[in-house]
Amino acid sequence: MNNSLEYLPDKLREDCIRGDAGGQKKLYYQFYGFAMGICLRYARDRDEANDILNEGFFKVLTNLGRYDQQKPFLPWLARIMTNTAIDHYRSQVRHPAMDDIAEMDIHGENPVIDSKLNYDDLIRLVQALPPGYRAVFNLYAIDGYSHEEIGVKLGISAGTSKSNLFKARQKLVAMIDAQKKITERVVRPIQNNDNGQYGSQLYRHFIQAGT
Amino acid sequence: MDNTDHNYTDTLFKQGLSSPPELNPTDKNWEDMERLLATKAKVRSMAWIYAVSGVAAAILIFLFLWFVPEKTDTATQQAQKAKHTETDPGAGTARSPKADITGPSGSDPIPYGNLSDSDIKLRAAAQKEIAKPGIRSEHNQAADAAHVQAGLQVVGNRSGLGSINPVSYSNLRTSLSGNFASQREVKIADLPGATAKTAAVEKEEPASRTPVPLRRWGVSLAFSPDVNSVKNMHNGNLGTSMGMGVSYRVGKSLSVGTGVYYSQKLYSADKKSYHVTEKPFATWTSYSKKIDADCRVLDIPVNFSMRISNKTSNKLYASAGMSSYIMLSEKYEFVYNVSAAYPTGRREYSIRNENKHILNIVNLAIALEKPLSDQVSLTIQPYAKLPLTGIGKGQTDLKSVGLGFGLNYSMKKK
Repeated sequence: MNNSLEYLPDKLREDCIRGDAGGQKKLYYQFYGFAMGICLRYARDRDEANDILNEGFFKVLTNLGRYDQQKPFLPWLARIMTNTAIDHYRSQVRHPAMDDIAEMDIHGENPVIDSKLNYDDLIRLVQALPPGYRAVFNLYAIDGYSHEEIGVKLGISAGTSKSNLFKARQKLVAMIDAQKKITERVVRPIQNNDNGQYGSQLYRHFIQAGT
Repeated sequence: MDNTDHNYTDTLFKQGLSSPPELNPTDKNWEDMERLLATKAKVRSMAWIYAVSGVAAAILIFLFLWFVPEKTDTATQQAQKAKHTETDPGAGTARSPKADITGPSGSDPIPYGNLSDSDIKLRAAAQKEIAKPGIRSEHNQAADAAHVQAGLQVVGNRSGLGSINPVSYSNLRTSLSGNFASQREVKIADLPGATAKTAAVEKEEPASRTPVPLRRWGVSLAFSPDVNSVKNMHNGNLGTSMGMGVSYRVGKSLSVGTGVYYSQKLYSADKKSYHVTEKPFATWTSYSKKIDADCRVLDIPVNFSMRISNKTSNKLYASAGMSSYIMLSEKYEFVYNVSAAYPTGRREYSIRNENKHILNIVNLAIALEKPLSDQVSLTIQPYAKLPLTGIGKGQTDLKSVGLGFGLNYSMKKK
């Protein structure tokens, strides 16, 4: 048996199935980062991501007996986390405001985006999306589901899924543009040694830290 | 799970989010996880108990109402049965008393239901004489037989049937000189109409003929799953209550009872449901999204019960009264939006033995009681507990509804 993170060690699996707290803690610590990477994309903040993650790990720890050891563990874990996030979204948003693609005026795509954005920038932008748009964008753009599959998962039509994806992209581009403009307005005076209203040392540290 | 659309925005985010930085859990994260595991495991086990309790209750009620036969040992019921036999002689398994007395060849059935008091007395006196223990002489036997014959002749004349058939009488004599004493107990006791009438003259009759004494004191053990809520029952959480009680019957159908019951009351509510001004509780409440409460309470009720249905097999009671809550412990978990001040988004507040609510909770219940014997009975009791004042530190409108299962024991009157 492969003992990498891709696969779950036999002993760890057996310990967890037996309800051994030590084993459960080990599995939680070992796969927390991977699971949190998924949950953060579907949540609006770290707090909500933690709630989803714990709910997902509860399902993992209580259903490990169903996991097929011959298959890689990470995809199984990822699917549980994604499904838990979708369940959480559906429980939070009973009647999301979603439009159908037929009502949309679709504009051109591929706007110019600053590709230097790091992980923290990107995750913050995704988390800033409305829940319905965020769910569709994650499922389609990151996790690779089709609109039909998304429709089934979220209980919406494929057309609504397309509409939400389109709006999500538009909002992301708009947010990036807005962020660029703010950055230019703040950074240019500093670069020009124009301390003015942004000249404090504290604010320079703030900008340099990339916050 | 594969779409073929390759959008620049999608690609940017997919690549950028594919390699998150090192995300490590804190000890608090794991503690939350452990708490979730413990809570859900508990809820699962409790759900199993509730399901079994519900099924058991349904089965019990079903058995009570349909399969348990009514008791037949009271004098009133005997009399009713006699009346039934009288009007329908061929019905059921009621035997002819005359046939019993005269043996297998008896051919002179006398309707015992029509016997007068004097007839019964004569019969009883004759049998009493015959049933005397010890060696009996021929003289005594003859006298006894004559005595009985005289009695039976009177019976026959009065009932319009003429004198007793001699053959029947000789059989009777044989029977009487044999083991009549033992037969007497069975046969006479089985006489439908005679039982009640002879009770007054036969001192050695069984105790069941006397009225059942009123048992005043009773003790009970009770267990009840209940739902607690501060707003409405849709958001109610499951709790449990168990304890013991004592009751005293103050009249034929009225009784008063009290007891001590330990209850676990779990509920969730938003901050609007909490009415407290004391800091820091009030401050913490004002910033919270919701508050989860876990309170352990001693419930001391004083209830009056009125019997509203007096069927032999099941008794129905309506009960009302007041309860006192002694708050043994109160634990409140405040759930916040995450922030720099509250990175985990949660905060806990616990107190012990701080609040008491004396006779501030209204109890309403309906109880169905099934006697298992003269002294032991089972009770199923749907109930509601409605507060007249705010409960606990948060002064919440904590309501409870539940289904109680009780085992009762009535003490014998000395």
